[in-house]
Amino acid sequence: MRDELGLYLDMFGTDISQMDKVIAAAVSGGATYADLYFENTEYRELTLRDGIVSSGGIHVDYGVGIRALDGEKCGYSYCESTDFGDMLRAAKAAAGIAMCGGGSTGKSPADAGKCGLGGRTGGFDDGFSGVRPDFYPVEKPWKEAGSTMIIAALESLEKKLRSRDARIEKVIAKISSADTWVLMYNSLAQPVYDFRPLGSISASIVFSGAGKNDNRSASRSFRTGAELISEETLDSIVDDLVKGIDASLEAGRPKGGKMPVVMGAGASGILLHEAMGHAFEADFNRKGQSVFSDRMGMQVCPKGMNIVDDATWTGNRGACNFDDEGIPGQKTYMVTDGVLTSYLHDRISAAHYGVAPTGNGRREGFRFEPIPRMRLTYMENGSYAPQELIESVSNGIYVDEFSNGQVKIGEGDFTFYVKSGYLIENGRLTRPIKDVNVIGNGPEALADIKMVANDLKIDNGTWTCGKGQSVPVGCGMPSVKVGELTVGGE
Amino acid sequence: MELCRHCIKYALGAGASALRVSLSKSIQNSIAVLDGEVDKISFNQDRSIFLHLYAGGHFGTFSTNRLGQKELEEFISSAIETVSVLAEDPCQRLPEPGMKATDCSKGDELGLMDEGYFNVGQEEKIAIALKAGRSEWNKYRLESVESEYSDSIDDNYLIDSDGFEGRHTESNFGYCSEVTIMDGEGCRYSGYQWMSTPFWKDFDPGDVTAQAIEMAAAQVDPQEVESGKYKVVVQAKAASRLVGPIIHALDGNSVQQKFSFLCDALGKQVFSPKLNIYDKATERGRMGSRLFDTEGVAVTDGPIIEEGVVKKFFVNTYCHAKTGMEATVEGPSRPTVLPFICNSDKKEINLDDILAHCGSGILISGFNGGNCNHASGNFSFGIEGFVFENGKIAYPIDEALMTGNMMELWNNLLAAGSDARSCARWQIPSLAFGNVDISA
Repeated sequence: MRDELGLYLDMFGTDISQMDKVIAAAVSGGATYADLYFENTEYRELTLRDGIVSSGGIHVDYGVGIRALDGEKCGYSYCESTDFGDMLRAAKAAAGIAMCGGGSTGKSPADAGKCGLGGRTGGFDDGFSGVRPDFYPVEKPWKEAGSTMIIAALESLEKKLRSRDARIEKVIAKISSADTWVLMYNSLAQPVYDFRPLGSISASIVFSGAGKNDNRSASRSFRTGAELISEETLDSIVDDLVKGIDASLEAGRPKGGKMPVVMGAGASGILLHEAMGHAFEADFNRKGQSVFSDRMGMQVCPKGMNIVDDATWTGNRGACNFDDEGIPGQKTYMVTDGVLTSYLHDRISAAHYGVAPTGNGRREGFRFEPIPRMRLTYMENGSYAPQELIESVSNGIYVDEFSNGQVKIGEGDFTFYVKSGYLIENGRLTRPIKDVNVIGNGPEALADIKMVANDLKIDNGTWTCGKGQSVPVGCGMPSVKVGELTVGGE
Repeated sequence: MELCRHCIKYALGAGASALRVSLSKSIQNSIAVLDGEVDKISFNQDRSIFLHLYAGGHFGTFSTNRLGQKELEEFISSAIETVSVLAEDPCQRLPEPGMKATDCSKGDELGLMDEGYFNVGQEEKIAIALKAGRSEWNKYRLESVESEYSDSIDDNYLIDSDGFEGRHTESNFGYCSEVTIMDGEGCRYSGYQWMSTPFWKDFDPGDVTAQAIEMAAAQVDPQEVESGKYKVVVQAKAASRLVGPIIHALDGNSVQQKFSFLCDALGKQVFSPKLNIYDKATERGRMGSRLFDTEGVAVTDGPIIEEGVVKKFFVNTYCHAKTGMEATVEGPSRPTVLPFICNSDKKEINLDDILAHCGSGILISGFNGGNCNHASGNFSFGIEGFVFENGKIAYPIDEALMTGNMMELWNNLLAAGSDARSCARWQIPSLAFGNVDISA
């Protein structure tokens, strides 16, 4: 019987000897490191619209990405077949990087051995001596779940929604799953394989009342199997959608300007993602582009605050057994007791800074080279009760649902879009608000966090981060109070 | 192409009642330059097949890049099995034959393919990438200059089981630069500029990096502005952000789902009578032009908004069958805002003209995040830009937001330029609006 690695080699129709030859072609121009990233993804989706599940599909993506590194310089090519000849041609295209600009640098990227998990060369296993991580165990594989069960879940979801609120006019619901098998191999002769499930349930509603239409959406997404589909999950989505209808129909906008902002637990993690997470990605820092490029070891938040980026949260969208460079998933403290202690590294930036890779080298798929990306980013608990934060504000806003955010890396200016929240007047939540953008400056906002509550919550929505490539991520946060942000309004 | 025909033959034989097959092939080449040295090269070729499969009232969409004949046949069989358990939906069907484009099977009918694409060698491309990425600047410290040359060919072939056959090919040569500078206070500022063209002969990235540096430098020492109502001018490079919500709201599927602030607007004047948006869909040699949409339906030139009146919803075959709305095309190709300036017959209108017309206000050079609620039209965007006074740029602004409602915004349209960037698919010029809420 084939071992697990053997099954992956079979899936991609290759073997170690062949991969060594492709690697040799990739470094033939003088590159100091090369790696291969084989991917086979089967994405399935079924959609309910206008009361019936009448559309669905399967999408297959298969190929191998080949990267040659000469110091920090990268040559990249991919092919959508794993035929030896096609891979050799792609490897030779990638090899060209070392022939640009006057010869090889002779510098290598950081290897996995620096992670403390025991890198080894020449092996046929994962190359790591520790226990193989399993941050996304699967009870019921998606492929075996069957469409009938998924269709029934979508129909049940719609029925629950309509039975809860007669103002709902339209429901679109979708269940999607992606099974991804990856096999990585590099010039250090380290083979790594991983199976990555990802399931999502999402629903959006359009409702009417008080002479107007509005919409809400909610989702749940995990690296898990079809056990995701349960009455409990469906009910929680229904609760999220229905609970906000009244507030949405009543909501207005605040008077715009600078004011204290209390960010509710969970999805407010978007503040961390935009205000500092991107600016802590080490590629922006090694290139001198980030506002945090020269702040390593400095106090960037009030004392007592810890901010982490975590690949080890079981089932989270951001969980990674291994990153896309074969580095084991790990928990990285970016801010410890308010001090900037680590950027988020891929192999290139780790070598640049002379530190161990943090397992943040991620990519959308085989068509893209890995770059530093977040995983699950959250702040650890503080000491306040959540209510104390609201009671401390005489005139500001409370926000707890968001749709999107953005940051300018150099300036540190970030924004996030508030789908729902409330005015805070004299320490109490009063009028509902929605559809306002909030803008701030990352370093200033982090330093201006006045209170952190003890109610850390991880938000399990379908968060996807775009940085030229889309990758699934997670975010979470306890409730926090920021002293002053600029709020869009009338 | 034979593969596509085989897909149709096989699928019909295996139980499908109709099929549309799209074969997409592309070549992409890029050379990134960081601080004067080549930092990354990539060369890639893609090909994949996308199927719209109809089987006895059932429907599904499927794609794969595993194109061996046996693999494809197994994939199609699996697709037919998958759709068989879905609910029947009689509205899912191919477009009426009379709706589809004709004489579009060569691919280069619109002249968007540079036949000399393969004559440009890699060494020449690297030399251009390095030369255009070079920068000289004395006033502020250059922290990072990151540029990228790219070229590509896209070749899309579309056929269906009713006999439609269409092909669209286009080449592209592009260059972009992203620059970070640092002022004497240690503050960073970034600038971004890009250009692209289908033709090598028109490819001139010479001043892209310099423009990115100028943009970064122009933002040094931003000042706070007071919250309040302002005249706002949005530069052409950013203005499509404000047209996007209108296009979304005109989508038939959005209207059918009541997720549009223009649900009842067809045929009505709901915007300023000065607003004209035309789809110049088939202009030869222009980015974004095409002869057919992804259903094979022929696209046409014509008004989308004319003198403030909504003239067209974008209604695909499914939406037409579902709602009875007149079938049109799935979406715009080259939406083009026509120029005007109040109290003038001028048709050549640049940014300076618009600033002079408005006198004072906020000039928006870019947006930072934000969103629009498509059901209500309410929006809120982060903005970057400048205060302008007496028609001249005065100083850059610090963190600020623009908030309002799309209907109100577009009813306060003061001017539209004739300065849309030729390299953009959407031809949106500089725009000016009155009475806009700015929060700071």
